[in-house]
Amino acid sequence: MLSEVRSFARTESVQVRRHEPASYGHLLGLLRSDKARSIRGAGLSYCLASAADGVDCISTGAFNRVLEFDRERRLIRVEPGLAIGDLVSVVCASGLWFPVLPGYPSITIGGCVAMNVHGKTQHNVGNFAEHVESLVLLHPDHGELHCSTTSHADLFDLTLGGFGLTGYIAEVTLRLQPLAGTAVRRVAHRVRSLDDAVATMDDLATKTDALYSWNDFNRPGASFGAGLVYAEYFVDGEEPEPEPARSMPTLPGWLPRRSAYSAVTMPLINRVYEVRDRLRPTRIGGVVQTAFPIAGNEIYFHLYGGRGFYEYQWIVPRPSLAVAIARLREAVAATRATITLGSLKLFAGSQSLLRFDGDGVCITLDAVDHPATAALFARLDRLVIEHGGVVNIAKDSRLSADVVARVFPEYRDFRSRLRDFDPHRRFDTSLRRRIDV
Amino acid sequence: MSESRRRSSGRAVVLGASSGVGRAAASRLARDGWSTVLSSRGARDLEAMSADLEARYGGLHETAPIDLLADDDALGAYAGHVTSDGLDVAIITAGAIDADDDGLTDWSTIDRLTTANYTAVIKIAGRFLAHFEQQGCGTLVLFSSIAAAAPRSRNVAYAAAKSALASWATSQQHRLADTEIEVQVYSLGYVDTPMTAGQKLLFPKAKPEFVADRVVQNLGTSHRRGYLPKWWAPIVGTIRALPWTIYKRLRF
Ligand SMILES: Cc1cc2nc3c(=O)[nH]c(=O)nc-3n(C[C@H](O)[C@H](O)[C@H](O)COP(=O)(O)OP(=O)(O)OC[C@H]3O[C@@H](n4cnc5c(N)ncnc54)[C@H](O)[C@@H]3O)c2cc1C
Ligand SMILES: NC(=O)c1ccc[n+]([C@@H]2O[C@H](COP(=O)([O-])OP(=O)(O)OC[C@H]3O[C@@H](n4cnc5c(N)ncnc54)[C@H](OP(=O)(O)O)[C@@H]3O)[C@@H](O)[C@H]2O)c1
Repeated sequence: MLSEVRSFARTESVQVRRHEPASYGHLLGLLRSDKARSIRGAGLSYCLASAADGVDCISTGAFNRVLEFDRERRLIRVEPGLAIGDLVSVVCASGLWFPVLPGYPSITIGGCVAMNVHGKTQHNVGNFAEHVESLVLLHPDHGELHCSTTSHADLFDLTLGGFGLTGYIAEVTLRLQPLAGTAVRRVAHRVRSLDDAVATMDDLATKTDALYSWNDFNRPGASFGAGLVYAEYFVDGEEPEPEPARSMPTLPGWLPRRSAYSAVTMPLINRVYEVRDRLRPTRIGGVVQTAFPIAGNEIYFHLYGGRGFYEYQWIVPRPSLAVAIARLREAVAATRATITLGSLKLFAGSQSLLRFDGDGVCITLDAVDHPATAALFARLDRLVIEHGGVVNIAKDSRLSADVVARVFPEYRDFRSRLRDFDPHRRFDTSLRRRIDV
Repeated sequence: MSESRRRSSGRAVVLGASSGVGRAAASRLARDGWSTVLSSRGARDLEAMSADLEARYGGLHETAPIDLLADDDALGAYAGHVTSDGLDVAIITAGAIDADDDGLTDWSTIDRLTTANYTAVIKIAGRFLAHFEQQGCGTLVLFSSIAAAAPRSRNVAYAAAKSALASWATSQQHRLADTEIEVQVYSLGYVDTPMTAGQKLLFPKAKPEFVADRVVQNLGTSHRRGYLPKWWAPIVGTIRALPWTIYKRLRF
């Protein structure tokens, strides 16, 4: 029986045969077949990264266990379906912490490895890959492979940010850090423009435990990107009882296709949001709760309606930043796109393969599915090609193979290494087909 | 009720621990501080479960793999092994269905379903009861199904085996009525587990955690039988009260 799988942003969908193995016996049987398959974690990638037409879709849902927890050596070995929120709950109880946390608690470890995700502290701790000690990969043609920097190092490298195309990630060993506090204090700093936001973040960069911003990209002129910079600090306080990681609520069937976000409603929504946080700029919360600010605010995604939305993420290299911000402001004004969310994070590191990594400032824009958005994002593609930096493939369901090839210097290297390892495409997804790797 | 009957931690075996209701029950027991023995066929699944429970909740969680389709000697050895270090509670969720179980299927499928859902279960359960009798207390929990209470032309051998299991449980309750030994049997409605994966069903599926919580909460009580979720009782009652001319047309 076929059933529908949708991308999280709801702009792509396919009918596929879904498998939900609950035992290793069943899983290994599915992985033995010659048929192409895709692996699906929580399905929270904005693009269709875990399914494709004509490809069986295997869920990791039942494989969500901690296999080994070495508190002394600060290592934890887990199955790929473990939710990142559950991981932090487990390690926090032992006074430990995992520093790379994407925005939603039910995102799985397998999904984090495959997309090499980042958190709110990227400039201090890097991406997910930098905290993976080793992993176990299962592949019908290669068997069970234990990968690390010292064993199958090339495959290890390809799998970290390899979009789930190198095989089934069966186990991941992660390096942990000591927990620096039992609660988190979050302070919201008001900023009057995008340049001001960057300056404020640069100033706070070395003093905070997490740092990100919310920016209003619909404001014209000098106040373009005005908003709030959030700085988080570990403090001592009361951590509430750990709860199972919250799952993304499914969209109610009665939801209209039209979005509630428009040029009329957005200024009002943004103003309410900003005033709310300006009135109470300092909050203290539990470490797990504060790590996932979107949990509990899922209505933000539901208000896009049935047609869904698009997200653009670009790490702008420092030397191009001033001109890129100016060109971005022009592009938003010229296309009259309504930006539903703008945000910044600081990035530090070196970019390789197709990973969303590098030195610079990460600019995020969300927008409704609308011709103005398509026009804006096409302009942004040209800006990225012109000014350098990379885009986030996991987040953008419309990026073409041509743009990806021009943006990522190691595109061809990734493509040929993947094809050498999996020439029969035992693992396949819509994302792979679109970016042609 | 005596102290031993009101026990809220100790050593419990969950046969069927790798999936669905059994997995949820084992987690709930571990969270409440029980030591567990985790059983089903797949050793690798059980090892993963055991490691996970230990990491999350501490305590001792052993694995004891068993195939219900194994011969009598293996079933006996298994029960002996599980009871050898003492046992306070036995929860047997293991069971199986088959898409071909339509009343016309081959004998080997019928044999397999009858064994996995009834004969092997009572062979092991009987040995656990013998252990409880020797020790003077203990709780045995078994699982029947709404399929047994309102049989239809699907899951034919399964429903018959579950019916037999419920009957066996009632007989044991009667036999052990004046002892400190509890035999509890639940008729489950639809539960969201691999057993019902991909099936389009007329009524909503309960979460396995919901079922497991009720089962574990009832461990210290004199609860004997019932539907889980409870709202299945009036539904099954209504279906059973229907005249045959209507019942035979139902597709549920
Ligand atoms: C609300 C929200 C906030 C987010 N915040 C961030 C953020 O802050 N930073 C960030 O970087 N990203 C963020 N993301 C994106 C998200 O982290 C990634 O898309 C992530 O990959 C999703 O993981 P998933 O478990 O949902 O996996 P899926 O979306 O189901 O799959 C993602 C990829 O992982 C592969 N995969 C999963 N498991 C395995 C496995 N066992 N073996 C092989 N391949 C596997 C899939 O094939 C697919 O290619 C966010 C997403 C949402 C919805
Ligand atoms: N789910 C429902 O809607 C529903 C409805 C009514 C009644 N029930 C009953 O409730 C109980 C629990 O169901 P569930 O949904 O949790 O089932 P499930 O998710 O399918 O789990 C069944 C368990 O039984 C084990 N098992 C199966 N065959 C076995 C064998 N031959 N030997 C040893 N172990 C075996 C399985 O492990 P391995 O495969 O690893 O051995 C697994 O741990 C069952 O008795 C079922 O009949 C369920």
